[in-house]
Amino acid sequence: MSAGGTATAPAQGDAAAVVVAVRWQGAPATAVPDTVAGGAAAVAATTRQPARAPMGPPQNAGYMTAAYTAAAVIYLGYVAVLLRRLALARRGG
Amino acid sequence: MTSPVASVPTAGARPAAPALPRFDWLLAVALLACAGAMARAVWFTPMDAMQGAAQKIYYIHVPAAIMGLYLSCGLLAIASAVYLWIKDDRLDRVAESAAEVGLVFMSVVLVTGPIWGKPIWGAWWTWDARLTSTLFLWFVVLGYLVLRGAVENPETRARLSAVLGVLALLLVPFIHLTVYLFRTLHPEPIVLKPSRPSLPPEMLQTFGLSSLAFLVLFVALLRARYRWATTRDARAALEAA
Repeated sequence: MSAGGTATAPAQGDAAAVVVAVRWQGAPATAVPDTVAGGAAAVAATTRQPARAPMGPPQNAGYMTAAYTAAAVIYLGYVAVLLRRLALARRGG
Repeated sequence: MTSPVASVPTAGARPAAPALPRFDWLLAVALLACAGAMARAVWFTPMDAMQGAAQKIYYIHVPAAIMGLYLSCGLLAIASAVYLWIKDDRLDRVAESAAEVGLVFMSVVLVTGPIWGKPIWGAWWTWDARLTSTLFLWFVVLGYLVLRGAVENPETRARLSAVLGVLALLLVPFIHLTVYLFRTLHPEPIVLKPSRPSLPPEMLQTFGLSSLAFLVLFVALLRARYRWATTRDARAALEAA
């Protein structure tokens, strides 16, 4: 059986069709044996390990890091400009 | 124009400009406080379940908006208006300093906002009422500083810039109300509103500490900028004498 499967729904009790459906849902082809007898085990393994990632907050810490870095650069840059002006003024420049 | 600096002697030996301290303790405390507030926001504040870590941009974006728009523009307008009335040079320097420091805070708002908007809205920028009016205010304050640099006569410079400083404040309530008056991607205020803040206590505490830290930074920067302006004007008066 080739990897990828089809979009047709499996018939009730048809192990081969179940294997196709499991692959169609995203299981890796190497994890699914190409035998009808192995189909049940593959279905059980797939049930224990859901194909979708667990729910949780979005992974976007990079945007937070970028924003904090940009803010720090702006503030510290202005502080540096101000301190330089004050140093020049102190020296009478 | 009245006397440029009250501390400039008028007779005797060559007068000296006001002395500047070698170490600005308030600025050092402010920077430490801001670093602490940012560390607390990043590592010791719960993550938002819907927005993830990007929501923590809130703790630098909103305090910068409060200082840059409300506080600095309010100070700029009040100092400008009172200057037009009593013509005291110190008020002109306060207005000038508030505009420059406010521009820095507004720049932080305009930079961190799009970085927050990209993962949440799916766009860096939209030309909606809140964002566009904030950008317009940034250009008005920038124009205020450019105007100051373009006019050589001190009295004319102070008078013209004071008028622009008063006008800049008119934009601030409009910007605050844009989220109520127009359809916009920008959310409505969750702290600066008549009802109770819509934040859990842990997030509200972090927001309060962050706002306090950036308030101290605003005051420290304003003080340092004012001192520099005082020294600059004193030297100009000495050279003119």
